Amino acid sequence: MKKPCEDLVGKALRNSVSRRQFLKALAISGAVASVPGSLLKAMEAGAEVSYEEAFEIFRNACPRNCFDTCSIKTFVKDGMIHHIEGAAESTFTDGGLCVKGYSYPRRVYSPDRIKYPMMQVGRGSGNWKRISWDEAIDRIARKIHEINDKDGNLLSLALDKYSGNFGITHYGVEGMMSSLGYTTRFVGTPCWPAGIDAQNYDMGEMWCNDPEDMVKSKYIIVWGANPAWCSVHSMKYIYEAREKGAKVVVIDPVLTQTAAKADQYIQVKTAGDGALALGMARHLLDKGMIDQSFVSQHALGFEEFKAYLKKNVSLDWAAKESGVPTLVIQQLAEEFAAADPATIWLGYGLQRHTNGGATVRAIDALVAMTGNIGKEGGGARYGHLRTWGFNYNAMVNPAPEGAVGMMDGKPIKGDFHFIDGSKAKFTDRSMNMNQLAREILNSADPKLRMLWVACRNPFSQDPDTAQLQKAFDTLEMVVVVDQFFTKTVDQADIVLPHTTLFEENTVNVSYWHYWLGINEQAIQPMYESKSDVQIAAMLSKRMNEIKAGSCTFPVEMDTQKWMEKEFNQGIYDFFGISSWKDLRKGPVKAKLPSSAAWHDFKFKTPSGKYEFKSQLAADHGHKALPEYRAKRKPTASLRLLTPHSKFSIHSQFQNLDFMEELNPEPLVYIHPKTAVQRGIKNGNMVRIFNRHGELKVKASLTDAVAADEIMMYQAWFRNSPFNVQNLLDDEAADMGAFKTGAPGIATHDQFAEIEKA
Amino acid sequence: MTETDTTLTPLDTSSRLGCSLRDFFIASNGDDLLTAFHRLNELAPELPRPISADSLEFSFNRLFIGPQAPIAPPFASVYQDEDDLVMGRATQDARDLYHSLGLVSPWQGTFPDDHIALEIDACLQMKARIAETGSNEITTLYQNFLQEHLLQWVPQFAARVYSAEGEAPQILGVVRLTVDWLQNELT
Ligand code: SF4
Repeated sequence: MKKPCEDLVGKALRNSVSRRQFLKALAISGAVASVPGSLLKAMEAGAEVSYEEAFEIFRNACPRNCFDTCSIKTFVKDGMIHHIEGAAESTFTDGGLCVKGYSYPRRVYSPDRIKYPMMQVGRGSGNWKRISWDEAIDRIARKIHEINDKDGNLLSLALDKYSGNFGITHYGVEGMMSSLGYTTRFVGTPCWPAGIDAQNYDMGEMWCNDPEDMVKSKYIIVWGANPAWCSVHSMKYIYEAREKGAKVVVIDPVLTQTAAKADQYIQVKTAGDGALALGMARHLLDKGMIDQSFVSQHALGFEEFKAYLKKNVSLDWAAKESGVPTLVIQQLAEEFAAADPATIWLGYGLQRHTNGGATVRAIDALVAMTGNIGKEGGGARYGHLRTWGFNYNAMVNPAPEGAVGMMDGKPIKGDFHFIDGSKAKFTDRSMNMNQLAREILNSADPKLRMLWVACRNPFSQDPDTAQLQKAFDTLEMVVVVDQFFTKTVDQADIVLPHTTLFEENTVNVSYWHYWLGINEQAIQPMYESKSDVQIAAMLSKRMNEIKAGSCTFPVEMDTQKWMEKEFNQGIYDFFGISSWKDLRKGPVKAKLPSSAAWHDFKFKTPSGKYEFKSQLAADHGHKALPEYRAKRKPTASLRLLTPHSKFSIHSQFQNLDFMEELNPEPLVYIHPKTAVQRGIKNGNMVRIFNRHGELKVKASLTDAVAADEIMMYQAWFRNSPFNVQNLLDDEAADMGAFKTGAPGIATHDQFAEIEKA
Repeated sequence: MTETDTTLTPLDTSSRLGCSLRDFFIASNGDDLLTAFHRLNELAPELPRPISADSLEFSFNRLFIGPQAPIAPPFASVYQDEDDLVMGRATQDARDLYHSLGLVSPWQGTFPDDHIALEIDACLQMKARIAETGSNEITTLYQNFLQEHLLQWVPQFAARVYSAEGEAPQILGVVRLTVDWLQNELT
């Protein structure tokens, strides 16, 4: 039973006047009594016991892999976070956060946080020893030197890092690796790569309209995205457009929260989206509803695309492949083409398929042929990196003198990798992040020995848990930097405690909206937590003590100075500020000549036009045209979908007690028809299995999913073995290698069986 | 091998016990834990026989430290506040109490002030001052602190420790000893 804490020395103590009187009454000398080994210290002579009556306010930014990258105002009292708010200065954040964002104080002050550097005696044993930072860093540094001595290079040291924290200074982790020498990097992204490549083939870059201009749209299709959960701040623009008369359509295999709020919901067969888009395109062709001026003046290859549609695409075929009736295809196409402007939001879910890149190209084509590219309120909205022009100062350290690496001349690529390494004599070794287990197991010359994991939780996010376990078992040392004990920390030798956003300085931008905000240190780092760049500096210091010149990363680290170093004139001009200090007053938005991407029709493709026909795509082994690509063949009787939950971003947030109360346990969603066939009732425990593994979970019957599909939200529950990755494989998406260094992953082309447990 | 700390000798048994409990809960490695345990064992022979420093530390970390979510976080606010968090009202209470005594946690702002070891330390400080000055105010404060604060949460904390499966009985014994010690301090 909890009772609210009674005041220790009477409730009066809370009142500063009586507190002062009480202090007087005590009239203690102030000296520490002679207690041996005392921990408490005498307050410094003259140090007033001051109790701040007002809040100190700091600027923060949510660094999670979320569209919204919210600007946060943090209220601090007596060195502790009292509460947080969404910043009102950003019209996008608009003074509010999501359920995850509001839980941040609970994250900082969760008793579950990793507090100290620790060493596990036997991976997965749960036997941990607390070690000092010096000892932890020394062990790591010695191991790195040992590897270098044995192999003559550091290619057996690998980094697995992605989107756990998008604060710009966190690219210092990559910088730490570069400053050690040439290492192995897990590249690519599980997130959005197939779509990035697709948009690069079509337009020369991934670039989306300002989401705030959706208010100007007359017709909005949200296709494979669920902003009601995953980009709550975008919803107000969709609603406003609707109030002004726009129609909102959601196309998704699952009746999502966004779909429930839409004017029309279209349940598409998973991975059949490309067929639907092409069917719509074919119908518009037949109807002559094409923007002739766009396709003739600003596009390349429309005639060939037309020919392809005429020859290969019929409405009946599209209806069969997509599961959407021909009448609906016709109606949707006609409405979309008639509205001006009309826009499509392409979600990342639609490209996590073996035909994902091709699907995005087909949808882009639909937006382009209706003349909606380059238009305010229009656009094929997928994402952008236009505001990411920072210095990546912590990333640009040269390799130490004499360091040896790969000689194949293939520099590192990545969606967020902005450093050009193409002129170097040696390069790092790239491996596919989306096939982590396979890559570790297959690594040779040299075999991977050591893995550094930061901003990432592969045991929750990477497919095929059984295989991943095998792979980790071959590693000599695993270091994980994190805030909480995840399934990956369980497989670490050394874990290092990382600061939360409130305990470090950095700067944040979004891949969706166009706002820029700083993230100030609002409180002292709790326990012994440190930020990625501070850890890198400590490692550099120790590396150099052991052998001078063995690491070029700075050995001193002030996170504020490093945040400052990220800014440049380009950023200042783009955002119309004269110093980063201006951001203390609140976030600012980029000065955009137009809210429309491609408003000047100067595409970055080889032809400078929108390319319905992309030779580059053909050169990369794809179809030149946005042709349909067949779906992956099923490997079990039911399709398995594992999308995002409302309560977590990947493996973040769901572990907090607050979220557990809202969302206490994992469930599998199953259509009543499918359940009846298998004798499964609502609330039954079921076993889901396939050739990769199995899991047990409670069934929830719903017709929000199709009868041939089952769905579980991917998440990490702290006290549960639940892990959707037990069932997934590492099948690649069709695209992604061009811009991010490795193909995407077909997360939604997965299959399983289900039975009563 | 038991190593007797001579600095504790002048203290009365209750303070010696308090010092060793404090040292046990604040220990940051197996050796310090074992040393504190040996001292406690001298004063409380009913404790189970010692185990290796490593075994003691592994269990101690699972219960109180991490990196897994600790079974029984040793912070008052986790039990006393509405939210199961650190740095809550109970933390502020502990901080206020220390300040009232002219004391401050060396880790204020980076470590919750209401950690069990710091609170036991505050008890020892108050005991020493009462012994020196006979101050009524401090006696009241101390009794209040025990009754309204420590004895509110430590039994709940202890219950979590007792319910843990497979953890070192030595630690369970120390926790039991802590509750007893606090109760004995109440007059
Ligand atoms: S998770 Fe997204 S919506 Fe929620 S606070 Fe962070 S950026 Fe904002």
